[in-house]
Amino acid sequence: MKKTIWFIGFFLLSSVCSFAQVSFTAKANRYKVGKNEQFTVEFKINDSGRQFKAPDFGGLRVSSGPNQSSTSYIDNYGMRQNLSFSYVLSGSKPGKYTIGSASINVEGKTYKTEPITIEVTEKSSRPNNPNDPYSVAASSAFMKVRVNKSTAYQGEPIIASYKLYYSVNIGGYEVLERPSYTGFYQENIELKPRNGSSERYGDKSYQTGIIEQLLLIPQKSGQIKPGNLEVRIPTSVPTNRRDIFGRRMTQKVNQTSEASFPTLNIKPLPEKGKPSSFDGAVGNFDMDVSLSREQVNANESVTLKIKLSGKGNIKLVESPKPEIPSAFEVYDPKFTERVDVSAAGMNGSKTYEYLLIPRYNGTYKIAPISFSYFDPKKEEYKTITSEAFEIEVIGGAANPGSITNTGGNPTASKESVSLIGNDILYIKTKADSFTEKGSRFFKTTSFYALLTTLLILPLGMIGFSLVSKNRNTDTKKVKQGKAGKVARKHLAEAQKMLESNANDAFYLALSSAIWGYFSDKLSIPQSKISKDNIVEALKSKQVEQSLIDQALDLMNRAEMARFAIAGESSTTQDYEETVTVITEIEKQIG
Amino acid sequence: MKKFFYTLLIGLSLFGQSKGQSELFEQANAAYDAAEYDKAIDLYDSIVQQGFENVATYYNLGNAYYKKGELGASILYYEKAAQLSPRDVDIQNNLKVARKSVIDKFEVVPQPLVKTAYLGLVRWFQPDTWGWISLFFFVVLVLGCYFYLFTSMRKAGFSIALVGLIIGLASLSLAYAHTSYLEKNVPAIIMATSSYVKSAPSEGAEDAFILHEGTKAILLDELDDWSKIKLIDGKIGWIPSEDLRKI
Repeated sequence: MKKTIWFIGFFLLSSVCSFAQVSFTAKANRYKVGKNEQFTVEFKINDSGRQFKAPDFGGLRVSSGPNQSSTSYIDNYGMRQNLSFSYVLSGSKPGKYTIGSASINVEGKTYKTEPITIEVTEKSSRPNNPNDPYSVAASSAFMKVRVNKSTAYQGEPIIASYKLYYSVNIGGYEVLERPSYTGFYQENIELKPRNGSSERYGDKSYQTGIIEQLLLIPQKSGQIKPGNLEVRIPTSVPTNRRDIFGRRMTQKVNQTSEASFPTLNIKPLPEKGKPSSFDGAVGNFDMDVSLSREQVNANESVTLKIKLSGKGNIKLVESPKPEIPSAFEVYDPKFTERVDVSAAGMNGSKTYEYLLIPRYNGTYKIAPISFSYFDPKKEEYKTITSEAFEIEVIGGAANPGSITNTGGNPTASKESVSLIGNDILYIKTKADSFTEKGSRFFKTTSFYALLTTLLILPLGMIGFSLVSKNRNTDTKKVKQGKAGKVARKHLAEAQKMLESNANDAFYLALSSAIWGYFSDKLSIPQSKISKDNIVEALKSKQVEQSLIDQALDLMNRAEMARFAIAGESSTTQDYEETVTVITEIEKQIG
Repeated sequence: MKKFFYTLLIGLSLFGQSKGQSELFEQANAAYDAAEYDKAIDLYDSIVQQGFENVATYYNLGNAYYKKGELGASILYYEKAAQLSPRDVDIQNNLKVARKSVIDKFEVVPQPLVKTAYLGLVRWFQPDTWGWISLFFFVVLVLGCYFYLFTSMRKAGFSIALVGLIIGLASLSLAYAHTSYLEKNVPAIIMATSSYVKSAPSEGAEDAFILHEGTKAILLDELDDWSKIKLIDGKIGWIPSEDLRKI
């Protein structure tokens, strides 16, 4: 009984102890590593945790992981479990990296690790020791990038090979990073199954093999560094230990070999002598243009075949477009490409087949087609021009677009006519007068002077007409001015009466002429006028007394004559006298 | 209208001098015919150096530079000729031909129709020509006023005066609009074979884009040896002033 109690006590104690001791830690095998060197980080918990959450690796590359392992054991406290999660990491750029916290859940409780800092240095932290397995590995297996030429023209294909050199046994390699070929057209070359050979490099002999090969076509000029190639090569390095048979034992080293791409000098294509038909073809090309038949019935088809073949950047080359007369219906060309990309470069042909269906009668020309390319070997431009073709179309309707069918070159459209003209027009042989440079008229003083004059003129005219209108409204002045006219008008009436021998009417007209004249001239209203105030007014205007008397006499006579019959001779006389008097007064008053 | 006044005013006053220029012009044409483009350029240029200009001289200079293969200069002089005579068919044709060889191609940003139409109207005539047009219509205004005020043709006179006033004022404002347009949009041609346009006026600034000979740009600003330019498609950047020439 006593024993049982002891046992129970023991188990209780053990369970209490096991609960209290959960620890979750992160640990790296090295805290300072070289670029691309691998190291291991392990997260360990001494209990059975669940829901492990991986930390943020802060930019480090994860080569493998999480690799989970667990160990269980029994100690004095009972069954225990250790759980670990490990990662193999490496950094591609130097700097400090922080691995964040990992978390795990143990029976509802979350545990976290402390973040750890790893420093990645440019150079390997390992000493350059000839016995160090890493430096031995680096000299016994490595990568190189080889190019067939480091100087090329823009558009000239370059072959790049990734070459592996090794003198020991190696495992399966893995390409970690390839150069970035910005500014290049890039195509992989299919490798021959056996491309190995042995080669001397430095003072050692190596087995070599091309692991990848590609064709690059530079699209821009300049000094271009495409970047680095990184390959992980598991290398077997001999050690100093020996096995039981006395053979040297080897150690497997997971090294990363870095090879820089040689700097490429890409020359721009020369501007000098660049033909207008040049469209980027670089290499050595040939063009073959053929027509399936030269005589055809209307509405039957003819095929125009353009075949470009040769070596160079043929995949990037477009064939020139033929100019087809508008009397033909043209379909999109049938395109076939046969291009072989190999270590020798890019080689092949491109064929464009245009199906033409003539709709109208006549003889039509297809203008010669020109294709230009740059030959990088001879460093000059070359132009191939095909022959011109003539197609005779029979048995169809006449072409409504052409005036004479025999003339035979109805071009596609008005637009293409203007595009054919590639030369400038001749100089002007007649010159207008030479003007002083930069001489301007607008905004100059003379311009403003003219402008102001022209704007003031109408204002002046308006002003002038306003003033003269004012004078019209001044009735006195108008009447004065019109006095002579009025008198003459009255006298003209009197003269009419004189001619018709109407004595009575003549004197009436005469007297009203005189009275009216004075009324207007002296500004005396008709209602107030009398001989006295006429005399007075005339005197004040300094008219001669004799003239006043004559006028009075005349007025008296005209009055009397209206009632007494006088001789005929006196009417003419009186008329003459009235004219003289009025004219005289007019002169004196003015 | 403009030619008439030019012959009247300037033609008369410069009659004696213009004889010398005509001789140079003839000689230059002869050199061009003999395909001695350098000589032709020198002779045409001597006319310009003397401070004279006309459409034919600029146009022929453009031709000579084109034949010599100097695309930038050729376009520059065609543009100068086109500024003096915007609707000359020969100039437009040769400009089109020359521009075909320019490497830089742009997608033209479409402008609102109203703006295009307005600019088309403003640029239809040079400011000077607009000035003369406005003066002509102000003369019409004066005549209209005369008929309205002093003769019996009052109605006709009033309409004539009104038309004269409206068109006169409109063309006067168009003259001002064109002048200010020209002041704000100073066109320039890239003369260097290629030139990097930077984001700031300094050698160390980042390259924004690259331009080639013959491309037209609008000059916005100048600072030391740098010019701020704007392209037809709206791109803006700084270019060394030596790579550029104002039209």
